[in-house]
Amino acid sequence: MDMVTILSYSERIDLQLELATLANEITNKLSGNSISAVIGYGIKDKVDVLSKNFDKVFVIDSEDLKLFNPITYANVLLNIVNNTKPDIILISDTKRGGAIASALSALLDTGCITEVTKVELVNDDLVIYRGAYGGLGLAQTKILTSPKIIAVKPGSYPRPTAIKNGIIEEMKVDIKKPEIELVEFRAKETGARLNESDVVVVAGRGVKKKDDLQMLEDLAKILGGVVGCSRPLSADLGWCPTWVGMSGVTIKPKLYIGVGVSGQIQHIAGIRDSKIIVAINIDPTHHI
Amino acid sequence: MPNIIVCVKQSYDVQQLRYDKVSKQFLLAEAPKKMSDTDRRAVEEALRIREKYGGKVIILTVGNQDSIDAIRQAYAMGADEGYAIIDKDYENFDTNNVAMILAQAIRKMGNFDLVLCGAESTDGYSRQVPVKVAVYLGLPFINFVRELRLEGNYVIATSDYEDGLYIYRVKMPAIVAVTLDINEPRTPTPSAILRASRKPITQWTLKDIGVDGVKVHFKVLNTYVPEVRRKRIILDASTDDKIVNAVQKLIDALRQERII
Repeated sequence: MDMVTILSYSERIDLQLELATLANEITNKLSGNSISAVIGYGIKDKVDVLSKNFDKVFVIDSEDLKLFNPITYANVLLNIVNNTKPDIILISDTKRGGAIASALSALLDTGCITEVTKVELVNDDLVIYRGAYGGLGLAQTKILTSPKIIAVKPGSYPRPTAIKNGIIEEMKVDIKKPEIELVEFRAKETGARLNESDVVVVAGRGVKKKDDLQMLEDLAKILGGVVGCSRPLSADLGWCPTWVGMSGVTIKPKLYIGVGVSGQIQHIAGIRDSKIIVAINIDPTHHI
Repeated sequence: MPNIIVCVKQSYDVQQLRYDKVSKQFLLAEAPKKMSDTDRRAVEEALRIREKYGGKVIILTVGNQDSIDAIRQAYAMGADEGYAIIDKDYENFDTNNVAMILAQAIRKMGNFDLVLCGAESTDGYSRQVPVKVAVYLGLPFINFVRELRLEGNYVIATSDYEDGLYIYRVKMPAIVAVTLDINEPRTPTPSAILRASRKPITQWTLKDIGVDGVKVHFKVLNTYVPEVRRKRIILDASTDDKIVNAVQKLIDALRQERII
């Protein structure tokens, strides 16, 4: 590959910056262009930071994008793809991003890999790593078609230091709104950003009462960290807005403390890259 | 009376998946399989809709001979009809191939109001197939649904996103992907399992649904268990008098690692 064009998209500016790091890594080795796509409603004013990290930023801001639908968004993104002819498309693998990447892959009839944690350049070709079998394994994969669509898990790459002075260009496109109506929206309490903390204390099913979470909060406070839950405590009991593990949040803190966490592989998949894992459990033979 | 097609996948039971300790490769040949956990909930949801509004629950799968078992599991839960698209190259199919085959089969089956899928499979976890089926069929799509009901010709579905719950209303036919939280699926009785084993299943080849060959878009070079070296220090705090000592040792160890 000589002169690659990389197009990055995320619905979140902070995750766009993580993609910029990966895009820079590739364009530093193979020369090329790193382009960012921003699409949505009322987002125009937020893109300045991206111009410091990408060579060019395309913005499509329209009221017709107020209602999110992955197929609508993929079709809008397709306009920028047709305009820039990228070799690689990076999309952050959030719930929205993963679905947009998938829809785009169907529209372009090209390969897409989701759940990606690492991308390596080997002999000018990309080797793409993704979790496999519920997070127990790691798969090395290759996309055989172009453009290659890669959906990267949030937190896989750090944010870059601003080094560019890119241009921002607004685009107007025809948008076919989905025949879907939003009846109601109920915001979730956002809670602590688990994947941004150096210390995470996680409560598992061994924590029997919600009141006992306070002990974990106290411990986290001493260590300068935050508290999270395993899936059953969040999804079944509703003690936390989100959970640590596959389909929840992937974390790699310096210190992970699991309290009464049994260590289901979906949970392990979400904490595997933590530096130190401390497990507090009544059963010394538990998987964790 | 809605006709509901439920797309299911026979997956590796990842909880029971073992690997070779030396080569770090998965022992797939001996691995038990079962219908994907979210697909089972999609079947359950379809059955609950049938119980309320009537109609039919039709199961569709793409796979190899093993995959037929997923339809048997859905029959045992109470599904009415089952279709399997069987191909010997199934293991090499990518998500575009599977979605395109499902879409073609759904077109051929016709006469449906709703397509339900699990939002992700238990083993592959790519979350790619449901939205791709919707793209290929040109139908509206709602993802990550944890609550579902019908209102005349409309579906009211609650989508679970990172920032909140979005309740959407969409006219049928539509494609809906459900999450693990939508319901607790029923356990079939032994007699239902026995009856299911005798119920006929329609088997089609790719040719039968008008697909001549598939183009593969990506390949897996290697799948292995990544090695993470851990120190595996176990501190005994099983009785009150041991706790102080264990905590002190833990603090010392964390200091040594310069964590605290």
